[in-house]
Amino acid sequence: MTLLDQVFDIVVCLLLLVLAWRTLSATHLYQSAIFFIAFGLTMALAWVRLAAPDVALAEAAIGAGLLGVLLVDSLRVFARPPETGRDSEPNKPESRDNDVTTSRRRPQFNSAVASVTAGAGCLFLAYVLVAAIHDLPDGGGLTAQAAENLSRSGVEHPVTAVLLNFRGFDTWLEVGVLFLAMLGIFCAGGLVGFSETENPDPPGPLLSWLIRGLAPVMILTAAYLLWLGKLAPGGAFQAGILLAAVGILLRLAGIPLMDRVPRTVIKLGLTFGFGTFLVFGIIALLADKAFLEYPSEWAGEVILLVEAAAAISIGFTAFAFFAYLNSRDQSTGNGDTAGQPRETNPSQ
Amino acid sequence: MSFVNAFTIIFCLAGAVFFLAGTVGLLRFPDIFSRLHALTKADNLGLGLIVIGLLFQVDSFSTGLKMLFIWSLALAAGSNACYAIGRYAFLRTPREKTREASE
Repeated sequence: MTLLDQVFDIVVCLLLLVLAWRTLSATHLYQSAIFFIAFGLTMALAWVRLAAPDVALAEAAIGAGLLGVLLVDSLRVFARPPETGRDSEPNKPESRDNDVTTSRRRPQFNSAVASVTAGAGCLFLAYVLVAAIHDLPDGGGLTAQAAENLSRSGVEHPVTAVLLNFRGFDTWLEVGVLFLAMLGIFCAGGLVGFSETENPDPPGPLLSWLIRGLAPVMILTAAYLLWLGKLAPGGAFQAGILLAAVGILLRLAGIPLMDRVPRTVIKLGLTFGFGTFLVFGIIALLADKAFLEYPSEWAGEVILLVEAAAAISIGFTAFAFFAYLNSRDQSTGNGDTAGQPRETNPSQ
Repeated sequence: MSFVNAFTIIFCLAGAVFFLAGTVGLLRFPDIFSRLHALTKADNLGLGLIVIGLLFQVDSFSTGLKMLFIWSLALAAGSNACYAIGRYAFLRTPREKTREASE
């Protein structure tokens, strides 16, 4: 490692700390969200420096991209004060930003006991993290074993082999966690179709033109990432988030393609990944093998199938998060949309 | 080979200059429109020059094509983001103020 590399790494570390601090200390929540996006991108850079491009891709797509969109969109929803909603005068755009999104008052602990407890908790967490780093096995743990069995896994990229074959169980549960999160959101608002978009403030002709051109390219890129996972960094999560991004952009551009998707297809799409994992796991059990143990001659094909299903589910789930927030935003109504009551209330 | 390397260095440095100028402009320019102007120069020209510089180092045709494709995607996305932000700012600013700024 040359001196320049070291300087670069130190700069990235410092930048991460500064961005984390600014994210927490910004007086305006909108600023916090933007700092969080910057933090995610810097984090992706740090993962690249740690020679983990798979994680970097996922961090950039999920941590910076999807979470950023969700945060900014949530702020748009919650920035509107409920009492000045439908009945009162349309808010001026300037006044809208000043309410909930501003947190000038720092969170104050009302007693010394609370702050001491919180501080002790943080110290304990820091100790556990440092101890965990210290306890990492020297020889790289199971790296040698994974490398030895790579030829039997059906793929050439070690990360995909571990994620989808050796530790497929973990990935299955990860997809399950996403599914649960989505169920939670739907419990809060009822299982709805992707409600119709009627953008009160159409984004102008350019975005619509861009997304019409880009959507096919993005879907193709998602398929490419999925296929690439076999031999290089890429895979279901990155591809899935890209698919979700297509949906989000379509919605933002006011192209009502996703609204046409019938409810059955949505339900199927949301459960597809989890279900496909489960089906292959049960098939393996019926064939007297361990759960999710793939036959080695078919492993590559099975992994591709499972990954494709997971990517579709992840895409649907991530888009459902956004669509739910977005339809909430429109149904709550405010100065912009007060004139036109929305029939697509999520609780229906 | 050193001749080719010289081209790479020249183009990448030129790209870096645009990035630097764009960053300084973003920090120093007074209003949102001139800031956007500075920012898009960094995105479009800076990245473009760096891609051209790196094209001299590419060993296969498809890699070069991918890099040009990445640049064109960044061009499309960057100009659209600029348009979206500019349009939002333009609609939010009262008309007289915008006219003052443009004069």
